[in-house]
Amino acid sequence: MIMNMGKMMDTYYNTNFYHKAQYHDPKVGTSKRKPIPMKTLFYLPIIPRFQRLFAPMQTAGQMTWHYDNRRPSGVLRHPSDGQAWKNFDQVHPDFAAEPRNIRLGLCSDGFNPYIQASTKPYSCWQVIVTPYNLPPEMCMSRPYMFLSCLIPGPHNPKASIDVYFQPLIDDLKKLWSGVQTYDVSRKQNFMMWASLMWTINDFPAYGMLSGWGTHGKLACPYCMEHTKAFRLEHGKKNSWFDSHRRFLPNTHTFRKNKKAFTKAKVEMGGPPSMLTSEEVYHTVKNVPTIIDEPHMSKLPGYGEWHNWTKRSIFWDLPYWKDNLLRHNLDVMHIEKNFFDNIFNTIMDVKGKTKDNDKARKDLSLYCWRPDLELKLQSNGKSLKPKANYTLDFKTESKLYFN
Amino acid sequence: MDWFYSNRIWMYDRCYANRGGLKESFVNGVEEFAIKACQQQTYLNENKLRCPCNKCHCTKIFSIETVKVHLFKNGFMPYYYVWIHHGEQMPHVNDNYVGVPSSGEHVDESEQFMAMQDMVYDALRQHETFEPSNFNNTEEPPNEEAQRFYDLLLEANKPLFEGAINSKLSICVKLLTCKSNWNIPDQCLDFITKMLLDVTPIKEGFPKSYYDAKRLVSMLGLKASRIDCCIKGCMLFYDNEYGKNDGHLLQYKFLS
Repeated sequence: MIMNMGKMMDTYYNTNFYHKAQYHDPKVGTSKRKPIPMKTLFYLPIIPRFQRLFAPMQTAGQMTWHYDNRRPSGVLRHPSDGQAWKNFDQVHPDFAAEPRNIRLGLCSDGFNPYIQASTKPYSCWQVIVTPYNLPPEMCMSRPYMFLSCLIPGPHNPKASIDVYFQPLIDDLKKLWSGVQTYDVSRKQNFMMWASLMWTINDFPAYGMLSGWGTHGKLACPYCMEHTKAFRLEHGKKNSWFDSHRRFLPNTHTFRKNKKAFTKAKVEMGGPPSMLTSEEVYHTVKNVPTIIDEPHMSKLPGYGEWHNWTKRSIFWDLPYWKDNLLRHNLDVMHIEKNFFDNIFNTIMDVKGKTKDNDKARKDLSLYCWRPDLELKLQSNGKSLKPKANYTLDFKTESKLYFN
Repeated sequence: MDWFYSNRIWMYDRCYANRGGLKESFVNGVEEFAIKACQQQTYLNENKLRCPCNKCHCTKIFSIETVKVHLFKNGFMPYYYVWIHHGEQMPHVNDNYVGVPSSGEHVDESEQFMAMQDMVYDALRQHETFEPSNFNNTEEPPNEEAQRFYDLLLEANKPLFEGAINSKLSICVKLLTCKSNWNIPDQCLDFITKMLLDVTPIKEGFPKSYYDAKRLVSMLGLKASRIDCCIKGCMLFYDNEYGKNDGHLLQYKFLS
């Protein structure tokens, strides 16, 4: 009986509460009006915008810059000097033969168009596509970054951001088969192709776009299931402490150091193997996409031996598995957070420093730092010794006033 | 500049990797360099020339034989694509860069209009010669779509009256900029257009209302489309060429 009730409630919510129709209910007496949609995605078609790049002389001539100005080998000045670009050229010689074909980068991030720190959070997502053919001073500058999707809020779309990518991916597929375009600088009609080279995101968006969840123990998309992450006993957080020694050369002295890293541990393991894109595709091939199954429950084994949430929509692109670099991290956010944490720790800001009591307790478990461990006092309280990397009041005030 | 880069790659490609011996292209290139350098006036006078090798950096003066030995031994000094010390002239910087706004800066409105003017100019000069070195010169008229765009641009970009700086297009774009920058109501824009019409003696080219201006600018393309989606973000109500056909649906399709 109880189970029946549950089922009934489920269907009730499914039909009536959670998923409303496409349009708002028409008001009485306004039946002739166009119905008002619940939510609309703004899509700015990219094909006419790329074609327009070849309409004025200023940009049309510059669209082959990466081909005309070959840098001597060893100079990294433009994405076209990189390995990923050259590898793609090798795999697709037809595509590389026409220098006017467009290489694209894609980035995505959430923002709040209203008040930043309001009680009602609102997260609106943008998707920006940029052509990399242009010279470095024009490439990635404001007039040449094309906003292609504007995804309305109020919630972060999470993994189902793929749903909103559909029109963009359709256009990219079309661009892979060629679009008739007029090039004003050479006065020719030609078939313009375009390929997406990579995406650039901050870490949460990386998880949304790539399909490998960036939460929990398996968050690192490089180590994947071979991670050495563990949960701190007192801090109750996942830590990647001492996971990087295995990337050192085999004879490095740090590998045998038993004091500076994890207590009494010699690192003998090698780095995790680098997966090729074919291997990644092979594992992801059978995972359903979020478009086919929007209400997918977590895949079996999620968080235990894999972190896949979905098959990313980018795998639908026929050339995606030929890209060496598919997803990149945007370092800006990471740098800012890192700086905040280090600064707060050094300045010993109360409540914000990472060097708190719990950290000191964990320290005694994992590290060899007897001078920093908490000391029990006669009155039952514990004393936290001052660390030599924090500033005291005198030096702090010197720093502020000089 | 491009020509120099593309034709003088051999200068920095001297030996084979992992074994001795000079590349043939490098030896030939140095011979070419010697012939060219020996033709200049200073060499004819003194029988000596500046050595562009990686150690001398054009500061020392030797005979041609010594210079050749130096070049084979040390290679050219870096970035010496144009032999300016041996009778060559630095080519002028490409004129196409002018008018391209640099990154991050606010693009001035007047600059934008200049860019527009340039585009019209490009469309007009069909018969001017432009000869890129790498491509065969097979000139074609623009395809139908591009031609329509250029025609529209030409039509809209005629000056409002003789001697006017503004065209119909630029006035319309300015009106729409008002709208987007300061979020002005439509009625206010209608009022402004009416005011403009009252002030000017020549009323021909001016937009008659906000709607008029919007229509003219929208004809130039680059529209945004709006696609309805499920309020929970599970699906889009749209059709595509790859077998998706949800545009007509009124209800969410994943009801179980």
